Amino acid sequence: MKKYFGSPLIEYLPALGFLAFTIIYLGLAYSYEGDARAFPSGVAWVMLVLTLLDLVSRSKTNMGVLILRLLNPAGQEDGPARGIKVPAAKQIIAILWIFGFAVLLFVTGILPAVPIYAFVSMRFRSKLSFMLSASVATLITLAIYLLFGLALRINFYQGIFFEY
Amino acid sequence: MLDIWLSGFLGLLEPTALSFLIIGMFVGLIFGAIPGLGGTTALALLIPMTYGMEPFAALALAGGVMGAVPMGGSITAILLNTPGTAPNAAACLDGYPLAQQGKGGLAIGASASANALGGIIGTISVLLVIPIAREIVLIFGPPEFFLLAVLGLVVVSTTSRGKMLRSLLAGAFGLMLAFVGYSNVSGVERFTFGNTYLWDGVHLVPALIGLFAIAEMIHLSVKGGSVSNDSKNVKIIGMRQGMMETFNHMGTVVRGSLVGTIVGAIPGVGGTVASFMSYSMTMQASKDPDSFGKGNIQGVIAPEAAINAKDGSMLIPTLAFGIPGSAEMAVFLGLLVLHGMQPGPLMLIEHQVEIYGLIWALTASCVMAAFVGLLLVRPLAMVTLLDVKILVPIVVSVAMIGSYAVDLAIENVILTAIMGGIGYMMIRYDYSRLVLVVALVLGPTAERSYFQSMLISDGSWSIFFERIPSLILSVITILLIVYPIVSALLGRGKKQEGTGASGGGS
Repeated sequence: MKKYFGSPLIEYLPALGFLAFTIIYLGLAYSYEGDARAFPSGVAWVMLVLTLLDLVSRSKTNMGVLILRLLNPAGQEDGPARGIKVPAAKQIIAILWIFGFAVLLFVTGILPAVPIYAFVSMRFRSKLSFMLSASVATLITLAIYLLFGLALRINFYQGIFFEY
Repeated sequence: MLDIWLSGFLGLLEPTALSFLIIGMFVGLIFGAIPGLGGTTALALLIPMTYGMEPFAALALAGGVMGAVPMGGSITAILLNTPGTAPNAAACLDGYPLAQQGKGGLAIGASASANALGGIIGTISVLLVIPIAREIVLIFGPPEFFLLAVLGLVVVSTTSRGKMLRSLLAGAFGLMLAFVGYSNVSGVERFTFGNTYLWDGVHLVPALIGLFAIAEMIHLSVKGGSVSNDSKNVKIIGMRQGMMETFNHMGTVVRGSLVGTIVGAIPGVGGTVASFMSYSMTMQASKDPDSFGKGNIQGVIAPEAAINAKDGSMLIPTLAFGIPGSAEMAVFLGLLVLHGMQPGPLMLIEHQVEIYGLIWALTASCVMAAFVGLLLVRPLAMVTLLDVKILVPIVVSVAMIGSYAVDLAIENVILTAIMGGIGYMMIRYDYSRLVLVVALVLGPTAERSYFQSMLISDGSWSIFFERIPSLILSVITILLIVYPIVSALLGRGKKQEGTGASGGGS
């Protein structure tokens, strides 16, 4: 993998993400009047400095190593946090499953989305047997219906086709 | 005072509160036994279900969870060398060797009684401290509350060992999120992009569910397998003897409990430090330190007493100042807010019965969990063998529907998913989620107190140094930021001297 200032691009991604977020945030903050923008813009400037320090600290330049040693010595240990040493694609897919479920809930409503997500997740993503996937999906849906629908008397969201 | 203690206790004996306490205790035992879940996830999942409940019953439920999690965690720590929660890791050091020697039951028995006694000692300490805490809180004005919010963030950031920069960054990010919605100073709508859902800001409970429950599920699903693959040590004999061992080492229990109580009251330090500190102090005090790590029963008793003792004292900064000292407390704070209880000085005055009820619930849960945990040792240990392929869809489904149920807004689900993604990236890149949550909670208080201070002082920052309490808080904050940098610089200087000396020598 191509390295920039001694580190692969993927190592800079969080700091770059924070940087983009902060710049947009600062731009928005300055569109508000005095009192409303004072505190958010102040925090955003601090965030900008911290993000730049974080960005530099992720490089293997002399300045980066110095910042890491002074402000974040734990980051000197090589390797990702909590032993996550799996391909980026697998991690992205895991996150996308959650977003997929959220979108499914939004579109179809709760009662259809839960069994679909649980079954598809177990049967096609985790390659579990049809019977096991179907049984667990049914049990989860039933438990959610009993707990939230009957015990807590919560009205289930019915999806964009029925709600609006 | 005694009548309020009693009211809290009697309130807990009401059938509803008692039922929820017991439910919470079972949930806490199960979630405590499953590594990666723990009390934070359990509370995050349960908060939405408390909606519509009486506040007292909700607090009983939370107390039940928080009191029982350490017991659940110690069972898997001892039997499977897989601590259910991070603080239980210290119990692995001697508990697992005992289990390997066929004395798993002895270790669990000792752990259960140490848990119960630690919880009781911790509770007594908190009951004594709360009236004093109330007096201290009443001295505080807007400048002190602003400085306290800043101090809370800095303490939590700097106690994440060696991660000050990324913790402060997470804190600033959390503050930025906290300013979304209507400004409580100017009434202006900020960073909402015209979305009415965001008018109330980033909703705390859905955000917490995402940051903790969903992020952990993504982490588990990426890791794969089952939580634990080692079932051969699930054998249990000699529990009664183990319980007696705790009473034979009362000095260890008291020392561990006091360490837990003191460390627990410091925001950000947490149970892991308390349990390992207690373990190391017991080892240093022992006549046979070499036996530690090889199956010394005191190596189980000391950390377990500290873990449960810290639960009570952790409530002090959360309730008195609104500064959650741990992720679990941050989520618990969400529960308080959901039930209309704003942590801070007023809470100590207006909700005394609920507070004491909570403390009693914590204690009762510690004691009950110790006994119930002993009965459920084997099934609890087997839970960790459940495949994450089945566990993840179950927890994700319940978490998402729970998030929706908070205020019946489907947007909560989207927020939870986004925060889940952010939470996982924070785990992956080693940013502190706790600091983000603390900032999210403290942001509005900090902004409001800052503007009140500026109004009082006519815009002069000298107000933060004029009164003794604010001066003390300012100095502590500055020292906490400067100390790690100076110590790193000094360490570097010494290292260079050492290198120079060795270089010269060679």
